[in-house]
Amino acid sequence: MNNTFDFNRFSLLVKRQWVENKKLFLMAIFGIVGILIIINSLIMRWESGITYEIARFSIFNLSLFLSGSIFANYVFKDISDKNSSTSFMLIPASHFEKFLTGVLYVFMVFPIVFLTLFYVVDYGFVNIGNNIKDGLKVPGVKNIQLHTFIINSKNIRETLDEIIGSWLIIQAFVLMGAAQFEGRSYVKTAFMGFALLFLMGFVIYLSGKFILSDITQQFQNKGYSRELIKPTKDIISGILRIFLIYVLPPILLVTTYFKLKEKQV
Amino acid sequence: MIQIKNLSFDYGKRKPVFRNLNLTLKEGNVYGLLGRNGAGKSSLLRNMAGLLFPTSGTCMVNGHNAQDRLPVFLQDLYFLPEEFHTPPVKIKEFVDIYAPFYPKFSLKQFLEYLEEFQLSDNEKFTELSLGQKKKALIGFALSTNTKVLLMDEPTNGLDIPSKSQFRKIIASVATDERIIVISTHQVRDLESLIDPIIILDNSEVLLNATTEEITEKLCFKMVSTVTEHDMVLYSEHSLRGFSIVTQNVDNEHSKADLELLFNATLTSQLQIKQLFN
Repeated sequence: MNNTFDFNRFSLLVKRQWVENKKLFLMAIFGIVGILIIINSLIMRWESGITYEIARFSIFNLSLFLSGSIFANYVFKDISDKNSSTSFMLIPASHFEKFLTGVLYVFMVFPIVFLTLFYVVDYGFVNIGNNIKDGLKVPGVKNIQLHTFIINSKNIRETLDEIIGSWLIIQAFVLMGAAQFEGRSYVKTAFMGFALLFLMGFVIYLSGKFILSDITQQFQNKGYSRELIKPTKDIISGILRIFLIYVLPPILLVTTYFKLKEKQV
Repeated sequence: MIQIKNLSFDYGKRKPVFRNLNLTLKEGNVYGLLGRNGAGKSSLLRNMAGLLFPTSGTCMVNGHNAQDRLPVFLQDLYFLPEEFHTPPVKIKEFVDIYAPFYPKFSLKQFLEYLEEFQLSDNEKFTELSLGQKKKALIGFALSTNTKVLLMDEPTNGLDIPSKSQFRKIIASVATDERIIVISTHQVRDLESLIDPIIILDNSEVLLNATTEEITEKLCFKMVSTVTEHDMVLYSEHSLRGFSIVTQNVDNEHSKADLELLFNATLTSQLQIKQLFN
């Protein structure tokens, strides 16, 4: 018997998550659609069919990060309460299978469902906006057509990897928080996250003030221009970017797995 | 077999719950785990289920280290806690989800238990009372046919007919291959069922003996007056005189009264330990 991974046990865990939560998941889907429709309606200028790219960008980010983190916390709700945690821990499946079920829902099921919902609503509003524009068309003047979000937007495509990276970090961080804290895990995780951000910001500020300014000063004293330091800065920010997107989320996920494995109730 | 060796356990800086606890539980018995509030009954069951980890020592269940919580270990153990969680689904959906994890689960058996407890598998957990939920979970626990069955205060919240149904059902599933451990305060509810008896207090096992061994060494009787030379370990005033527990020096036959035994063990710890060790 394989005590680490068995596909049958894993599929039973996936089924269990769906059967026990299907009503809530379906209600959440309707909730997200409703909120997206309301916000899109508010940002659209109904008389001209214009909608602002920056507002759509904000809606996308806010709804993705907020609903994603709430969902990630919910998926591991089984271990944030003593009674449900007891029941969850005693399901005859491995810690890895239980962890992987959470990962599957958070990192695969959620983005697929969210993006589908977002684009269905976005597509609807793009069509509505374009129809309004067509109705106001002045002969001989070319209309600016709305396009579906991100796919046709050059500016946003450039920041896409940053969005995905930040989203992965937040999802992994919330999963870890859900495995760590008992009761009100979402609030506690948010508090811990902001505290860490504040601390990091403070450290970066201090190092920038005392170390980097000193180095810059030394370079300038030796007669080098500021421009010479820029490539080094780019390398540092590149390394940091790779670390944040590709290294930090896996570290957080491995930590979550061990939190789950060592969980006592 | 459940083998606990030199197990120590505590909740952080507080007084240790167990200190070097040694205990062996064998198949074919329904163990009764007794102790005052906070004596560590639930903690011991949770250590056996792998939900709590010993600070030192080991807890081996069917040859597996409990704290590893491996699937092979979990599929042969069912733990019914005192306070439990039920998902917001129908009983039959619950069975659909959880039964496939237990290779020896019997649906026929489960439906019989539901019938005995006058429940339908079409009912939703959210629409059941606490006692009804507990009965459904007891039925499920017994139908998993696991080798080890741990129950924490199983009769709490059950009505009077359900308690006798529970006794009947447990007696029917107590096979030679199974270890059943029941922790309880309601000794009267389970008096006829539990044997051997384990009494925990002060971070240790004060008594671990079968009722046969107990009645061999102790005598439970009713007397009108209590004299000093009766070697009384415990006495309790009752309507008809005094219920007493004495050393059984004359090989008298008596029926073990678990409530008296429990009180006698707590009040005369040293004598009881000397008698049984």
